[in-house]
Amino acid sequence: VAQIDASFDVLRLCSGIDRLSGNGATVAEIHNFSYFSCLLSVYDGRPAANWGYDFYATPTGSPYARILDVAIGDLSAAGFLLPGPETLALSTTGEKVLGELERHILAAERMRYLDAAAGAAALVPLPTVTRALAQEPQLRRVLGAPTKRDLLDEAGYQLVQPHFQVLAEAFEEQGMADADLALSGAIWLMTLSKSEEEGE
Amino acid sequence: MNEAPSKDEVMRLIEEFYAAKVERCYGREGGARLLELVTALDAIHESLAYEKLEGGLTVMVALKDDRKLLGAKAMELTPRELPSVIEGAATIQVLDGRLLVVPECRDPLKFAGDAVVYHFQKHDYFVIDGELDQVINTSSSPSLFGTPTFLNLEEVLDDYKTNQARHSQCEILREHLWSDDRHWWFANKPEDVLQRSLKRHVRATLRGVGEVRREQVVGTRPTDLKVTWSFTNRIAYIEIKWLGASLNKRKTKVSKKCSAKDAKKGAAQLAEYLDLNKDDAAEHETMGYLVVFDGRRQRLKLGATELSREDALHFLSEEVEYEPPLWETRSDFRRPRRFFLEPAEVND
Repeated sequence: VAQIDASFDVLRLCSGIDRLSGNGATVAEIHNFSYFSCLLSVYDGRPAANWGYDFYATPTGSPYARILDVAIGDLSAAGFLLPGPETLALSTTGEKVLGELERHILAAERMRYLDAAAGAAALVPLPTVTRALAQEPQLRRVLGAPTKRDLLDEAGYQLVQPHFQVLAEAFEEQGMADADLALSGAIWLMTLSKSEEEGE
Repeated sequence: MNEAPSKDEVMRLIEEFYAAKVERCYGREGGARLLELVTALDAIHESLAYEKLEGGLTVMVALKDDRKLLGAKAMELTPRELPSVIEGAATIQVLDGRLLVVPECRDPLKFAGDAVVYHFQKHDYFVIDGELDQVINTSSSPSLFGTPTFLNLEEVLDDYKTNQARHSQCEILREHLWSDDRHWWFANKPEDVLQRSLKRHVRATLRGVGEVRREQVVGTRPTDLKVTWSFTNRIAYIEIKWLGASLNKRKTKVSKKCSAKDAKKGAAQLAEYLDLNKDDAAEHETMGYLVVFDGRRQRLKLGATELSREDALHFLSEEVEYEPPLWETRSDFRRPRRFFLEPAEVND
């Protein structure tokens, strides 16, 4: 099941990122956006374990899920993804497969978060997403550490939860408690990006 | 950033962020429409250079899915087709991923009740509560949704004027442009030197530049330089003219004199060239630049050993009068740039 989730995520994110960039999606962007989608599901009150697969942070401070790389390999070998020099894009068959998978009842919940991540990225300049996400507290913690580290374990959750609490309270006080998830995601990215600019 | 941001800071961001304003004004449905709108804006700004949209651009997504807002005259176009139809202004409705286009800018406020509306006129705006609300933009570009190309080239040309041309600081100009060390007379046929110098500077300093080369066209006279950018449909044509006098190789006589009339001729040639290329470059955004290197000296005679400061700098601020001023009527023609080249030596 986790492999199916990962394959669906790769196809859906590839399609969403391609719409934003007009130039396909890089492998790094797929890992980043998948992790961001998972974070938005946690913000939305779902346990991270429900995402279906785990992420860890690389020593360079980037999120990574091995299962996504496996999915990218399988989808490319099956001809669903067209590898370019630096980016991946959906082939016509890949688009058809994605269309089929989207009709599956279990896809609806994942789409909510994958689309919110892509939507948040549409609202802010695309390069901001990767830059801002690098300021996410769990990724920031491991930057320069010698080994990889699990993300969204209990310790990781304790780091990110205060951010989500402030975000939710701020929206509520602005009378926007039911704000679109993409908007919440964009505002969080902006606070992370701002902290980078201020050199915190 | 391990510490959570302060609530006040997040609330301020929510208050100021254009997407939050749109969602507050139009509700969740408006927020969903906004996502459709901004995705289309990226594609539209990729096809249309905002530097040319002096008459304004309005883009909207109807709040009710299937409602057409621009009347029967609207054309259905793909983003790639926009440059062939739009000159300086446009109103576009995004409908199911399609673009319905009228090539004029309509009042964005008129659509406030029916659509989420974006407007560009030197800056980004959204219509919020029936008024134009400027998007906060901390970048150095006029728009959050497009990348500057021609604007960057103009900055590069202005930089060249001051830091490369004015005192012939560029080594190509210093070593090859002049017939004399005092920089009173141009060397014979200075066109190639001017072209090489400007080409090198543009290639070295322009961001995202794909290619800078002499335009090769069969059947029509080419412009001096053609500039393209990687991954865009933008093309800039630069026509170079010089004013002043050149000496022959042996420095025994004046080989050529160019006056303001030649600059005016250059403007007409560039306009003609842009017109001729319109069909070939239909899916491109083109912009024409006339660059005039001005080395005119007042009352300079062959064999002169003295030139007063007044005569040497006489043309420093004497602009060429172009009639008609094509940049006022054409969105693909920029006001000509004159680079006055100061002499290295004058007599007080």
